[in-house]
Amino acid sequence: MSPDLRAEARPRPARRLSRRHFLITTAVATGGAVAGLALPVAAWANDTIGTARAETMLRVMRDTFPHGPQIVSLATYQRLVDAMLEEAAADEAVKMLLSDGVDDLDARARAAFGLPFTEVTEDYAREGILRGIETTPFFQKFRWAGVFGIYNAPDLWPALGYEGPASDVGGFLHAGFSDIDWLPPGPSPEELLAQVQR
Amino acid sequence: MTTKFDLDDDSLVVIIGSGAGGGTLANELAQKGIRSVVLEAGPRFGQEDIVNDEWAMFNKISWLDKRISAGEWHGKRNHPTLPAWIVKGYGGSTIHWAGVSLRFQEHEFRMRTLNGEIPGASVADWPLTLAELTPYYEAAERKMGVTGKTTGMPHLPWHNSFRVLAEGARRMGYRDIVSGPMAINSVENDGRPACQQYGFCMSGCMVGAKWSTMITELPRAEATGKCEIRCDAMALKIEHDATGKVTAVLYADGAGNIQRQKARLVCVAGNAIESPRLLLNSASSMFPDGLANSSGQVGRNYMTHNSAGVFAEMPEKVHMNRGTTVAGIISDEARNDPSRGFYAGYRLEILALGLPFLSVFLNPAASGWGREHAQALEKYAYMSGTWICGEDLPQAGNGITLHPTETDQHGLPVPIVTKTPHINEVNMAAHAYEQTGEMYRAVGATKVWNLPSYPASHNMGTNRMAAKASEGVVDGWGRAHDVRNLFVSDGSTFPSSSAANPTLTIVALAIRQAEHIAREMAAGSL
Repeated sequence: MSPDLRAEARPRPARRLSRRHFLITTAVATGGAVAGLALPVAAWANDTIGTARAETMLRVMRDTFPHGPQIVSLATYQRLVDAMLEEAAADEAVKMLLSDGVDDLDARARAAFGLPFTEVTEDYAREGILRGIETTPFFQKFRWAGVFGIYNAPDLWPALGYEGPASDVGGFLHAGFSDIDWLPPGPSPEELLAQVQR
Repeated sequence: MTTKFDLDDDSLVVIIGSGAGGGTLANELAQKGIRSVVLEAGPRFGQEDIVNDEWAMFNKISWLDKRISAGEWHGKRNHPTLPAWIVKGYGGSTIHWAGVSLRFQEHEFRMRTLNGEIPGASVADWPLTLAELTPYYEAAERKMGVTGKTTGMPHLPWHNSFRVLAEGARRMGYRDIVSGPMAINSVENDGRPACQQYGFCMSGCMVGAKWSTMITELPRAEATGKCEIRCDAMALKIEHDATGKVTAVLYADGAGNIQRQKARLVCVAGNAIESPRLLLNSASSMFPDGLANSSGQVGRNYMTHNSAGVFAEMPEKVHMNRGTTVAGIISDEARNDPSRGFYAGYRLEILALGLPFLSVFLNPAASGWGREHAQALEKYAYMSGTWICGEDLPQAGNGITLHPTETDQHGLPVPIVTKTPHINEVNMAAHAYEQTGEMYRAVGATKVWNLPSYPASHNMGTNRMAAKASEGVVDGWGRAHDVRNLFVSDGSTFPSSSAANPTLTIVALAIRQAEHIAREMAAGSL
C-alpha cells in the first residue's frame, strides 16, 4: 500500500539541517560557488548511503517535480535530499529504504538502457523508469517530500505564481479581488441586492 | 462561568458531536431551557486557532484516526486510510465547510416515487416533504446568516475565478448562475463581520464571517448555563436498561479514562461514519446487531456526493486564490431529468485551492508527479477550478462496517468505509466533466484536467430515516424506531443525498428535532 495523505501530512519532527551542515554540503557541492547555480554534483560527498546513491536521489528528486532553476533552485532539491539523508542517518529502516530503492532503480536503468539511472540523459526515459516504481514507498517518499518541500514552501510561491494568504493586508478584498479585465465583470452591488428581494 | 454537570445526573440530554447537527441541537435546546452535555471527541478550538495555512489547518482540525477505504471508489485507490475529510473538535466540520447553504429541491425528497425502482440502488423517499421543512430552512438561514431572500443579505461579489466559469456557462446557454446562498456574511451580521475575501474557507474562517458552531451555537449554548461542552470526550458505547431505553454514554476522556455519563435521552451527531459506528459498537444481548438496528439499516446506504473536480488553464491570469473557496454555484443541471442518461442532478460549484493543496489534489493518485504535473502547477496563476456536486444514489452495500481485528487507540474496531459507484454516478460524472470542460473551453481554456474526488466531506445516509420501522433506523424526527429516547441528529439520517451540500439541511432538521424533543419532554413522553 502506498503511503497516503493521512500518514504523510502529519507533522514530523523538524529535520531542518543545521546552518553549519548546510554550508558544508553546499560549499562542497558548489566548490565554493554560489549555492543554486550549476553545481558539480559529483563533488557532493555523503557518507550515509554513499555519494553515488545520494547523487541518484538528487536526480530522482528533480525528476519527481522538475522545474527550471529560476523557479526551484538545485539547492532546494538538494535540501530535500539532505533532509532524507539526515533521516536515514538516524533511522536504519529509512536508510535501507533509500539504499535499496536506489540500487533497484539503477538495476532497472541498466536493464533498460545499460546505464546507471543518473547517466540516462533523456528526461522522458528517466520518467519512464520512475513510472515503473511510482507506487513504491521509496518513490512516494520523494513525492511527498516535494509536495511539502516545494509547493508548501512560501519562499518558492512567488516563482510558482501563488500569492499565499492576504492576512497581512486584511483579505483579498483589498488586494486584487475581482480585478481581471479580459472577461465581463460580475453583478454590481445593486444587482446583487436586487437578486435577494422577495 | 462554565457549567459542569454531574456524571450521575440522569436528567440530561447527552449529545454526541458538536458540529452542524449536535452544535445546533445543543443551542436550540439550551435556549428552551433544556439542559445538555455535549461529548466532543476532539479538542476545543477557537477563533485564535484559525490560520491561513492549508496543511497546518488540515493537521490541526482533521479527523485523522484510522479508517479504512474499501470498495471500488476513489477512496480505496487514492486515500486508503482517509476516506473522509471531516473535523474532530469543537465545532466539528462546520469549521471546514465552505458555507454553501442550498435547500434540497422538492424532487429530492421523493426520488423513489418519481423514478420508480432503480436497479442496484436503494432509493427511498423522505418521510417528510419540502413544504414541511421549509419553515425550518428559513429558521436555519436566519440563524446562520445565509445570503438570500430570507435574510435580505446580498450574495457576495463575484471573484475572478467565478467570473471565468460563469462567463463560460453563459456562453453555453446556462442561466442559473449565482454567488449564493452562502452562510458567509456579505454585510456585518449577528455580531460577526463581513467577509473580506481572505479565502482559505476550508481551513476555518479567519475572521468569523462564515457561520460555524464553533463561534455561534456552542458558545451561545454555554452562555445559557444550560449546556456543558466536554471536549476530548470520545463516545465509546451507548448503554441501555432492561426495558431497552438508553441510560448512559460511556466515553474516554482526555486522559484516556473511561467515564459514564448518565442520560435522559441521547442524540447521536457524530457524522455519517462515527454515528453508525457508535450504534454498531453499542450492540448488546437485547440489540445483537447494534443499537436501533432491527431494520438492518444501520451503517448501510452510505452516500458521499457524486463529486469530482475540473481545473482549467486559462489564457490570462485568474488568481483563483483571491477570495472565498466556493464563491458561486451553477444549478442548471440540478434537475431530475433522466433524458440526460442518468437520474437526479448535479451542481457546479467554483472551488479555489491553494498551491499546497492543488499539488496533491490535481492528481491525488500515486501518479501525481512528473513533468506534466510540475508544468501544470507552474501555471497556478492561470487556473480556475470547479467542484461537481451531484446526487449520489444510495446502495445497500455501501456503508460502514467494523474491522474484525484492527482497533483504534480506544480499543474500538476501526471503521471500514465501503463504497462502489453506481453506474448512474459514472454516467452523471461523465456528463458533468464534459459540460464543465466545455464551459472552460468556451472562454479559451488551453488545458482542462478532470480530477477525481477528494476525501469525502459530505457523508450521508448511514442511519436513514423512514416512516416504517422495517425500512429505516429513525423516523422523520430523527428518533430511533427501536429506542424511543435515542435520536440521530446529523446527515446520516438523509434517505437521499441531493445535489445540495448537506449542512443547511442538517441544521434545519436539528432545529426541528429540538422542537420535537421539547414538545415530547413537556408532554411527559420522553
